[in-house]
Amino acid sequence: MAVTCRLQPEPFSPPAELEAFMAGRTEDGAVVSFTGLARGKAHSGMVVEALVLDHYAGMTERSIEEIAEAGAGRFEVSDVLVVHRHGAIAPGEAIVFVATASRHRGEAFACADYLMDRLKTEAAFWKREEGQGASRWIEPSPTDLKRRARWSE
Amino acid sequence: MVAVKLSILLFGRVSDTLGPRIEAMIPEEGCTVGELRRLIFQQVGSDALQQKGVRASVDKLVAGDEAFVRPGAEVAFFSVFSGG
Repeated sequence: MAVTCRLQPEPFSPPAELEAFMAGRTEDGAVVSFTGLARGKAHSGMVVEALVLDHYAGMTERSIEEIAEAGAGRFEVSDVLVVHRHGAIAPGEAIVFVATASRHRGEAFACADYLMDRLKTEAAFWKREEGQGASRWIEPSPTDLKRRARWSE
Repeated sequence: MVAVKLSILLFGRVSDTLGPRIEAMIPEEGCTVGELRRLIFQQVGSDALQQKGVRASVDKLVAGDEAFVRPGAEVAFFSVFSGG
């Protein structure tokens, strides 16, 4: 099993990541991927020029790796990939990409769901929306916390 | 008491109040994270680090208020995480 995590400031291509993740995969019957995109409009209606993810070098990487390893240990998956951006992200660009592979789809779906719920609430990032001369911190919503709590049951 | 200077990193909403980095004087024998919060309150005049949800790390490991901070440690305080 391979658990691969990358943290980078540069944009990346989710289709290219998925293609590489799927290449040569003959033993698995399922690959599930999720891509989180930066939105151009906030819930308040504010036009967002950039989503900025602050990170803490060393601690952020460790938090992502711990989550990915936990997902790989909890579900019957063959491989896990997490790619996460930091810094300023333009609307439409990918923030995060998660891919999981397994023999059957259930475990791949569940693992990807688990990884995203934990990344949203436990990866060491601080996210804010910037636009129209304003900046607003984004913190996990009650829904995010409720989704995360499912995995503690 | 001999005091030494400790540089502290701040992340998230808490950095709006105090900036990305502050300095505090701590006892040369060190102190706990909880004591450090109180020292910063006394020295900086802000209770931003005593607000609910503000957590700490020591040498890049999340640490509770009972964790010990020695001079030279890398300490950070931060607001709630929001990745993904």
